[in-house]
Formats: sequence, structure tokens, C-alpha cells
Amino acid sequence: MQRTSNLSDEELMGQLAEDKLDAAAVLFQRYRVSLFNFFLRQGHAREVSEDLVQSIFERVIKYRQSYRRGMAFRAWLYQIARNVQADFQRQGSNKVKEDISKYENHLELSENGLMGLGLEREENLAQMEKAMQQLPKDQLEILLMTRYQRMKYMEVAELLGCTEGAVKLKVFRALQQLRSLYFKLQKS
Amino acid sequence: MHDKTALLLMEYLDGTLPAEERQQLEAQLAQDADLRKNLEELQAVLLQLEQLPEQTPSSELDARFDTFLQAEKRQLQSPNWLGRLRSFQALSRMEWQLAATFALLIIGLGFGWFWRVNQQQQAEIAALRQEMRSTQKMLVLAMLEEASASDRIQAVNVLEQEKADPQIIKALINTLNFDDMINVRMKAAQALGSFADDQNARKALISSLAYQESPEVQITIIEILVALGDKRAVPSLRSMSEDQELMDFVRQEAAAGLDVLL
Repeated sequence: MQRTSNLSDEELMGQLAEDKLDAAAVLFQRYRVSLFNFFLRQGHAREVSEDLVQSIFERVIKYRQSYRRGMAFRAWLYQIARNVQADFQRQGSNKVKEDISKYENHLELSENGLMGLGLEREENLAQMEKAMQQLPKDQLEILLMTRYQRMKYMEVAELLGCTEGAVKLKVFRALQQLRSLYFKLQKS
Repeated sequence: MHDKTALLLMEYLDGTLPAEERQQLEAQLAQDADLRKNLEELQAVLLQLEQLPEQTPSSELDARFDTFLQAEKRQLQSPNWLGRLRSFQALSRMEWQLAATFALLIIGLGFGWFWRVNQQQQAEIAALRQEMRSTQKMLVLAMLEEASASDRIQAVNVLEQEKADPQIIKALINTLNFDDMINVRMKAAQALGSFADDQNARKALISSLAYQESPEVQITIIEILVALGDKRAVPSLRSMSEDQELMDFVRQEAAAGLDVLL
């Protein structure tokens, strides 16, 4: 695994397309944490988030032939992530509600995990997480992809099928929305 | 806020705004307190977003992924292996058919060639043997005409082993009737007796009885004819049994023969 860890995502994907399945293990190691948190941040419970990450990599392996060479891997990966999530949500709105209720537990968990931080910072984080919850789904998603997952605008543009400028604008509008939600919570 | 301004601010926040435009924006910010506050708040939000704490998925996820990966690997190997085997079999089957066809062709040609050669050889050998035999026969027949008595007896012995053939029968009859030596005539009678299936040989033996003067030859012929049980010998034997000029034991032999035949 370490032998291949210097390769880029795209090179690994090229290997995977040639049926060298071990390349998928490297990609899994690279993205399992960020994808897991990507789903947690969007309000899914831990178990659900793990299920979704598992589903993503099952699809990455199964649909490896559909990956076009030269395509940004992360754009392809997050496309799968979105599809997996959409499929999951289609399975039943009851389940989704249940998951959102579990989100509270998740928040507590993350708060408990921050005991070492300063009180102010801890409060700020809790408010930020609440503000994110209130953000429309597409805005939360684009913020997570660009600011949290550090995806390049180009990659998101490829994923969403729009121009890089349009992505920048969407991100800016989402940031403005989050800002107003966050500072509204702070004032109250 | 206009798209153009929004884009400008986004690039400013990202630090990707070109120097000239950045200076223009900073000049604007110095005058616009609201915009400045907005931007400061955005920077704070961005900082928060980028510092969101991460959680680690359980080791169960790693185990599940690994299980899936190994299963996929096995699946990938098995159908491929089977496929390869199948294509190999298909290929070898074709090759086999081709090879078998060629092999059969070669074997067939080989057999054909061998058969023809063999046939030719057989024919040649037969022709050669035929040639040798006729040469030998000619030599033997020639031997009956001349050479010593012992050579003529030898020649009759050789001819006796041969298949009945008009030329041989004729030569033997000639010897039986005209050879100078009693022993040779006796031998010829015996040879003709062995060719008893040939009607000419029998007739010659029967008619020869009347001409033979040697009692030894007479007795030999009588013995042969009696042994053959040929009733056509009866008239000759009867006249011989009554012929007072013949030797006693010849008449007695003829009479005994008659008794057997009648």
C-alpha cells in the first residue's frame, strides 16, 4: 500500500480501472475520514455515515470502468457521494428524520470531544454547527466541498456541470448565508 | 450585492485577487465600514469552517471495506481465470482440429504412398518370383532331356513339388514313356501319381501301362492306380493279369489290383 501511496488519485484510479483493486484500498484510506465527516456534517448518524462511505467505495470499485481518464478524481468521487446520499434519502423520509434526530447526539459527541478547547471557542463551534444545520442543503454541500473538503473550484465545477465562476459565486452566497445565520445565533 | 462584487470578494477571501484589483478593493474597504464588517465576519466564518473538528470512523468500516475488496478480488480472479481457461480450451480445440486434420492428411498420404510402393514392390516381387520360377522350370525341364540319370531324377523330384501345369505334366509323361532309365521312369510315374487330380496325368498313367516293358515301372504304375482307385485302369489290369508274356509277379500284382478295384 505504501508503495503506491505517492501516486496521485488519478493515477490510482487508472490502476483501478486496469483491475488492480489494491489501488482502491489506498483511495479508501485517503478519503474515508473526510467522506465520513462530509456525511456527519450533513446530519447523518455515525452508522449511516459509515454505511454511506462503504457504499461509495463499493461503487468506486464496481464502476471503476466508468471513470474517464484525466477526469478529476474528487469530482467523480463526490458525484458518487451525492448519488449514494440521494439513494439513501429516497429509501424513506422516516429514516432521514430519524437520522436528523440522531444528529443531536452527534453534536453532543463532537462537543464532548472539544472539552479541551476554550469555552468561547467551544460555544462558537456549537453555534457554527447549528447555523450549518439551518443552511439549505445545496449551500451546505458546496461549503463542505470547497471549504472543508478543500475541493478546488474546478473540481466542483466539473461535478456540478457549471463554470468555475459560477461555483465561486455559489460559495460566496452560501458563505454570506451562513454568516448571517451564525451571527444571528450569536446575538440571541 | 452584484455578482461582480461578490466574485471580487470571494477571490479576495481566497487570496487569489490580482494585486491591482486587491488594492482597489482595499481602498474601497477603508471607506465602507459595512462592507469591511461583512468581510471580517466572512473571514471568521471561513476560519471556523476550516477548523471544524473531524471524527474518525470506526475500525468496523475498515474491516467492511477490506471484506468487500477481497470478495471483489476473488470474483475478478475466478471468472477471468475461467474465461482464460475457456478461451485457451477453445483455441487448443481449434488447434487440435487443425493438427488432427493435418496429421490425418499426412498419415493418409503416407499410407497411400506406402501402399502404392508396397503394391509395386509386391507386384515386382511376384513378377520376379514368377520369372525365377519359369526360369527354374525351364532349367528343370531342360534337365529332363539331358544330363545324367541322377540329375533327371533330381529334376523330376523338383517338378513333383511344383503346381500341376500342362507343361510339367507333358514333360513328365514324356519322361515316363521315353526315358532310357527305369529309375527315372519310375520316379516320373510317382510324380504323375502325385498330380492325380490332373486328368491328363491319370490318362497318361493308364495308357502308359500298355507300353511299359520294365516290370518295376509296371508294378509302380499298378500300385499308383490301385491306390487312386481309378476304375478306368480295370481293362488294362485285366489284360495284364492274363498276359502270359509278363513276369509272374506283375500278373499277380495286376490281378490283386483288379480285386481291389472291382
